Parts: sequence; structure tokens; C-alpha cells
Amino acid sequence: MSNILQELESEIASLKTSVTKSNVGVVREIGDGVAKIEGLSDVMLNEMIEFPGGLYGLALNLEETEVGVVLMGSGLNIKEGDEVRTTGRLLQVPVGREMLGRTVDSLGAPLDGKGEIKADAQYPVEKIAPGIIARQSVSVPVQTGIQAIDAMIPVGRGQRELIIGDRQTGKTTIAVDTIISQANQNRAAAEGKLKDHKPIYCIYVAIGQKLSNVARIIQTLENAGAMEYTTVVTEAASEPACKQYLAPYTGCAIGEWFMDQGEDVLIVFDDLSKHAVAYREMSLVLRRPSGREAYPGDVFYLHSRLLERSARLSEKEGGGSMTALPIVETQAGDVSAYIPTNVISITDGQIFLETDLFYQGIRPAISVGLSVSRVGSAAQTKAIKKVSGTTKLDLAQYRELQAFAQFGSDLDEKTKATLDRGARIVELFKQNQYSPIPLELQVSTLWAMQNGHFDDVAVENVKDCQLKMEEFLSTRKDEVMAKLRDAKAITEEIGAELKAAVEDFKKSYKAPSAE
Amino acid sequence: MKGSKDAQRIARQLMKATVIDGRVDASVVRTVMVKLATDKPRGYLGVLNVYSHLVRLELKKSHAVIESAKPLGAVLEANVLADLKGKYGTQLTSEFKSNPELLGGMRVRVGSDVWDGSVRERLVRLREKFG
Ligand SMILES: Nc1ncnc2c1ncn2[C@@H]1O[C@H](COP(=O)(O)OP(=O)(O)OP(=O)(O)O)[C@@H](O)[C@H]1O
Ligand SMILES: [Mg+2]
Repeated sequence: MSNILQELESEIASLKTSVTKSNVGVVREIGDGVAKIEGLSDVMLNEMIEFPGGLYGLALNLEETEVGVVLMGSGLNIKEGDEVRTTGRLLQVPVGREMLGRTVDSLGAPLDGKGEIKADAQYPVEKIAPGIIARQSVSVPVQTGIQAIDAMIPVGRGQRELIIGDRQTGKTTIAVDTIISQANQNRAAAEGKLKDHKPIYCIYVAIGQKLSNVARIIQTLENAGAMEYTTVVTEAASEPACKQYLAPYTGCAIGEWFMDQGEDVLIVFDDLSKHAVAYREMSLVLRRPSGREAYPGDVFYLHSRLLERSARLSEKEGGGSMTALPIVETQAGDVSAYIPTNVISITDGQIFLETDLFYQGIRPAISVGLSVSRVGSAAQTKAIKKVSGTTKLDLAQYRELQAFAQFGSDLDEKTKATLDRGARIVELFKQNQYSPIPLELQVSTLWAMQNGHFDDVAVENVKDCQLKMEEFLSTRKDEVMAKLRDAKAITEEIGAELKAAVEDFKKSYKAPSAE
Repeated sequence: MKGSKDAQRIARQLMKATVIDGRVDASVVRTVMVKLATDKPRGYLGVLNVYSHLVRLELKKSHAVIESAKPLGAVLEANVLADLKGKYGTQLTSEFKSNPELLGGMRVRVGSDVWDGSVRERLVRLREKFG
């Protein structure tokens, strides 16, 4: 109590003498969430501008005689002639450990009714990305728990891997599964069941989505016990374009705080197509010149400066990392449209999802031929690398041969073997949503496949056999699984035990009778 | 006020010629007006509109508005003005206003710079701090 009195008194004392200097301007035009301001000669780009009634805006257009300010709330009470002032502050958001488990908007204000968030610091929403010297190359994996990705398109910590595909192809699901997988591993590590695992905290940024969609995703994360490791930043489609535009940068700032503490984070931008649309809308009311597909000319910079902030910092800088999974929606699979080409060029690879595959029931609908990870293989665990080496090639060959195989029935032995193997890999890589597979089970499955243990199982039974084997291994062969989990490699000893375990299972396995 | 792109470009060029040594030169303004009004080039009205807007903005930059809760009195006014001229140059024009809403103290505005030492401002800042 006496503290606050002292504070009050000293504040009054300083106010008695102080004169505040500010830079002011006058509203000349208002509408569409944008105000044109005359004056403000000292304004900085991205500075917060204070309007009457406690409303803030962001100075985005600095012209010779006027400044374009986008409002961060409803400007219904603002009228022409109102005086506004600079604040000397760039937009900042609260960051810190208490952000975990919370859902916030692009100003960092809680949306989940769980009370105030005690911030550890305020971070600027726009920040220069770490330079080359502060970085180190990607070498530690992000285990997504999605078998097809971990085996063929591995993602490393600090990498930027794009998830791209038409609408309703399972893009969001891949991101959500990856978050759930991180939560599972974090929890296992905390319980001492996963050796040498550095936790990954997750940030899911929802841009311009339907409220109901976001609510469902949060519920999914809650149900999977992933929310306690996750922050959700959301600006729904109904929010002003400016707030949607800010959301990914806000998410980034929240992630950077963890990275600066030497922690690892994963951030999902769902999605950057809607983000670009929000930016286009803003630019339109700011009357900026537009270019290709009516996007303003700097839309490339919009996403490059965002994704550049993902990094793996050197040990000297604390060794933290931020892995980014931006999502982009394509129209009819067209990756040559403006936003897809831009984002492809600034990421380290892409996971390409195809509508056709999705409707054939191949889910996740990952197109093997068009998906790549340019840096992730350096981070892939030894065990997976050993058993998945040729898988991507096998599958690609399978897809190619499949087209030919439809025409002729007399195939040579080698072709037939490739087709048989391919069909089984496709089955093995089908995976239900929200059920990430731990590393040791992925390795076991791939090992069994490589060593022909699925060859005598009919293609339509492969999935059933795989699920039962996973169940068998995790309940009955926990010892081998634990060894594999710890070693993250198939040593001679583990290899022998794995062989025995799989053979053990195969003896007892009965395929479901076809009725 | 916006005017076409061309009007803006031309007006801006004229404006460059109008500001001499950091101040609006009245004789240039007059010349521009007469020339535009007699020659009547295409879109001259638009140019004039933008030009006059720019001139007004430029003049504002060297115009001080000094508000106080009660009239300051001749001596104080002269002191304040001398101070401001020391800071902004002798071409500074000025106007004094009394504004009871300030409650006490003074508020000076030159261009878009504001020095606010009024009681009202202090109360506002205090409320922000403890609100
Ligand atoms: N592996 C999967 N197995 C079964 N169903 C899936 C799988 N992945 C996605 N789905 C289902 O497909 C639908 C679309 O998935 P999702 O919302 O992830 O796609 P999206 O590409 O993000 O869609 P949008 O374009 O609407 O954002 C959902 O109903 C989801 O439950
Ligand atoms: Mg989606």
C-alpha cells in the first residue's frame, strides 16, 4: 500500500514540472478502417498512433503530406478534424511463458476468458531477423509423428517447410498433428520416458478463418492435451484486415521470446493466402499501387520478412530455434500463382497435398513427387534414415509404373515387385488424423516393410496388420521399443531383437477374413 | 483536395520553387497564382487546389499557436515568443489563444510539434498511468 502511495507521489512530483512533447496530426479522412492524417511530421513507419478515446492505429503509409494509419479497432467515434498523436512506440505485444495454454488476438490480448496474462516482456511485432552469424545449420529433427513426412520429407528444427494444397486437402490437419506430436513428446520427456529430448513449444496462428473452425482446432488441441504447450493467435475473418495482417508477426514475436530463452518453438501460419488477401485489402484502402493479381508490389517482402525470422540460433546465441510451417492454399493445384511461387521461393521445401489423392482415400494426401525438404535430411534421425532410404524413390517409381500397369497385364518380375512394394508403402503411409506415431513405431514399421515382412500380407490388409503390429510392439515388446527410442538408431543388438519381435507378431497375426 | 496524379506532381514541383530558405516566399506564390490564372493550362484548377493546400501546410510549419488557460499578459507573451523564435527562426508567426479547458499551464503547437505543459495533459497522463 505504501508502495503505491510513494509511486503516486513521485509521479505527481515529476508531472508538476514535466512538459510532454508529442507530434500531432489531424484526421482528414476516415473510412474502411483507415484514417488519413495530416501533420505527424515525426512519425515512424509502424509506429502506434493514438486517437481520441484510447483507440490506436498503425502508421503504414508515410507520404509527403499525409500519413495513412490503419485502425486497430472500430473507428466509429473518430471524425474528421480529430487530433491524433504519435506515441514513440512501435507496436509491441506481451510475450512470455504464461502465453502457453492461451488464445490471444494480434495485440496479445486474451480471447479465452481465462484472465489476465502476466507477461515476461514486451516484444516488437516487427523485428529484424537474426543475421547469418547468429545462426547455425539445421541438424535436430522435428518429429512430426506423420510417418510419410518423417520418412520422406523430414523437417529439422529451425526449418521453414511450406504446407501447400487446394482447399480441404488436410493442410491444417498436418499442422495440428505435428503440434499434437510435439505435446506427446514433451510430456514423455517430462515424465522421463524420452531421453535427451528438448521440448518444442508451439504457436498456431489462425488468419482470417471462420470462428467455428478455430474453436474446433482449439478443442482438438485441448482434447489431445496439447494446449498446455501451445499458444493460439487468432484473427478471424470478421476482424479488421489490419488485425489479420498483424497476427503472424505477433505469433512470431511470441515465438522469438522462447527462442531467445534458448528454447525450441514451432510456429504454424494458417494461412498465408488469407494473410496476403488481408494485406491486399489494406493496401487498397491506403490507395497503394497494385501489381500482379492486384496484390501490392511488396507482398513478397511481406512474407519473406516474416519467414526470415525462423532460425536456429548458434550456441553462442543460446541455441534456440523457431521452425515455421506456413500454409498456402492453391486454386486447382496451381503452384505458379503469385503467392504460392513467392512462398515456395522463401521456404526450405514444401509438403504438397493433392485433392485426387485425398479423394482416393490416401490421407494424408501427400504428393511424393512434388514434396521436398531441402535441409531436413541433415536432421533426420539415424534410425529412420536407415530404414527409409529408398522409400521415396520406391514410391515415385510406383506412381510412374502404376500408370503403365493399367494398360498391360504381362509385367516382368521386377516391375511387379516394384508395384507390390509401392502399393504396400502407400497403405503404410495412410494415417488417421490426430494420431501421430512415435519414432520407434515408425522405425519398426519401415524396418518390417524393408525386410519384406508385409510382402505376404494382402494389400487391403496391410493397414490392419500395421496397426495390430504397432499395438503388439508397444504393449508386449516395450523393452525393444524403449531401446530403440533411446538409441534412435538400429544397432546390431536392437536389429536382432526387432527381428524377433516382428516375427513373433507375424506368427500370431491373422488377417481379417474377407466376407 | 486529392487532385489527379498530374495535378499533384505539378503542384509539388511548384511548391519546391516556392519554399526559399525554408520559408514560403510570398512573391513566388503570387507569381504562380497569376501565371496559372492567366495561362489556364489544362487542369489548372486542380493544380491550384493542391498547391494552395501545400502552401497552407507549409505555412503551418512556421506558425505557432500558444494556448493558455488564462490570457498570459503582454510581458509573458513576448517572452514566450522570443523563446520560440530562438528555436524555430525569426520568420515564425504566432497567435495566442485562451482555452479554459487546459485548467492551467500552457500548450504550444508549431506545425505538428506540440509541447503540452497544461494541467489537463498532466491529469490525462496520470490517469493513463494509474487507470
Ligand atoms: N489423415 C486424415 N484422415 C482422415 N481425415 C482427414 C485426414 N486429414 C484431414 N482429414 C479431414 O479432411 C477434412 C479437411 O481437412 P483440413 O481442415 O485439415 O483441410 P484444409 O486443407 O486445412 O482445409 P481448408 O482449405 O478448409 O483450410 C477435415 O474434415 C479433416 O477431418
Ligand atoms: Mg485449413
